[in-house]
Amino acid sequence: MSSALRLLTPLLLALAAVTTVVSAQTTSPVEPEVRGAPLGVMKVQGNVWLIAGAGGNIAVQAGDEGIVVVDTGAVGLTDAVMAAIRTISDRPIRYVVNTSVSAQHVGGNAKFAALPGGSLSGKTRGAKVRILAQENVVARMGEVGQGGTPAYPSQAWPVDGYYVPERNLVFNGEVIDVIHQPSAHSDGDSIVYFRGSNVLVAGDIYTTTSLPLVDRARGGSLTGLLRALNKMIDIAVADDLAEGGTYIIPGHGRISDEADLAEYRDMVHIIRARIADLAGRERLSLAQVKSRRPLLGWEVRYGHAGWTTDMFIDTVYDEFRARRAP
Amino acid sequence: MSVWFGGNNKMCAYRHGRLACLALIALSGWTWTQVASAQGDIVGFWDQPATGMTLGTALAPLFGFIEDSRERADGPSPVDYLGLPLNEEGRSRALAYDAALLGVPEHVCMRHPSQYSFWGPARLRISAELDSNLNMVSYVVGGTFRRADRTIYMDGRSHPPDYAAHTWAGFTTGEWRGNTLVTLTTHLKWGWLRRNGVVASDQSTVATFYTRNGNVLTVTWIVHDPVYLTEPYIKSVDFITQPVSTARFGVEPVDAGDDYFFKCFTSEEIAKPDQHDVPHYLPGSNPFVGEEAKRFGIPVEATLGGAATAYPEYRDRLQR
Repeated sequence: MSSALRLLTPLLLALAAVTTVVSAQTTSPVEPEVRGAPLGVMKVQGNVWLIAGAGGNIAVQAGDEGIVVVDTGAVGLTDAVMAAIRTISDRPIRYVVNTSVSAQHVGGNAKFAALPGGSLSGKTRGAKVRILAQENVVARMGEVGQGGTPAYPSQAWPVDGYYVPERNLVFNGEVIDVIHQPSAHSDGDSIVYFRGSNVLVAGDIYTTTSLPLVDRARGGSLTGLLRALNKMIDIAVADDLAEGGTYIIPGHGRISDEADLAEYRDMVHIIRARIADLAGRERLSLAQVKSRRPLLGWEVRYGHAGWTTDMFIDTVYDEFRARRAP
Repeated sequence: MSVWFGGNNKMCAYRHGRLACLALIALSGWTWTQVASAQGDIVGFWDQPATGMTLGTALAPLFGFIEDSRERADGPSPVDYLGLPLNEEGRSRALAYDAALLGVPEHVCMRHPSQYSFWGPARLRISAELDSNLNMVSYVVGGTFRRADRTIYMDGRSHPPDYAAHTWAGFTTGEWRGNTLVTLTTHLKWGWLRRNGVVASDQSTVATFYTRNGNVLTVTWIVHDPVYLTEPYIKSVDFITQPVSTARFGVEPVDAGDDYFFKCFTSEEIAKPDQHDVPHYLPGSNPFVGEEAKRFGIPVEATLGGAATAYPEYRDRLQR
């Protein structure tokens, strides 16, 4: 843990607790149902693979130096995840990166942290698996709940929290960019770009299965999520005729490319404009905004029982509500 | 493949769908009567009858094929959804469309997807891929706008899992049933159902029927879209053989010069203060609503589509 993070952690934990109280009335998105084993394994391109079905999607980069795992899936499926990884490579798992604190992305952290690491090439440091995440993820995993215990056991916490806008490393011969996206799905989101493989891991900022997963209780916002989607579009480059090129692994759902991401971004842009128009310019109440159905066009495609259009509007309405002059 | 004709949410389960289904069966029956003169193989060069080089537009009426020339050339009017079985989601989505979206770099090069591509400009080039034992592996159908070339696997392979990437062409398998090649396409991207902003979702699937009768290839396709359609959408178009002497692998010389049809390089076409702007219309603000109705003297309601507008009795309803 960096010295800066060590100093800041108590402050962050306190801030997180206050944030939790203040935003207790907001709704947190419920991620899609976990499908469970057997898990799906598919090569995306380059050195990167997708493991699907373990809750949140898991990305695996494998090479001679070992394995990098982006997210660890839901609790209870870690053995299946590790078995799936072993179908890709038998090299040691060296790094885990968490894209956010969402339960379906950090559920296997503790088991991964217990794995022996070990450098085969001598190029990498440390003997244990290093779990990397934006520092707000560390803070939120340590939040003390009503029972007086942290949300996650300390073994599951990322030991390598970063607080700069971007952390970079080279592993298996390719540059990996871990880039913080402030106040998007939450306040601790990272996108992970494998430059050589040309694969971008989006976490819950982008899914193909849900309306935007804005977790305001954890510092997310629709505006920040849209900004993060546009950042990913800036990174992604389509191959010939708007297909392929950079592939994107969403937090949930299918492998995508820039065209899919753009379609989702367009949706977020438009529904944000609609809600801003109704709640801001027309000064409509929450109930009135809902009655105007600002998500019409995407309700069926992206709404689901765990994160309905009503729940979504409940969550983001305050972001756009017309502010009265003091 | 029989599932396409039965069960819930399938074409024949709908009232209007049953009519379309019967029409399709009738078409198939008619096709069977032509077997003696038909050639099953679809490999070759195919042109659009009304606008192609083979006949020329002046001769096209004599040939009897003035077919969708508007759609197959410059495209439809902005808000003309007549005959499309849109639900309220599909209509809302279409009305939000601003054609300036095509100036957004991420969309500049988008292809015509398999839900639509045969309806738009197309000069088909169909080839067959054989294995080392000369068994059929696949057909490849190219020549649609921006080349969402469709590979039709004939070797019995299964479709990819649901977490695999989707493409503009989708993933297609097929089999011959009598004189008709019947295919199923899944794993599609969202894309045009009609290229004036009416879209099919990435959850849609397409059943396509290729029937050759002499020098005419009839392609009929049925789009199943649980997101934007109230019932399957059925459409057919014809292509005519293009004699080898006039066949080209490219397109019209005027288009070939800038690779307009088959190549595309993303660029910023419109200077915008916001690099990430997404042009669209807010609900109730689409300026083109009513334009088509005024032009043809029909109610606005008719131009907004819906399943009922696809059937002849709709005219009676309007007159009442």
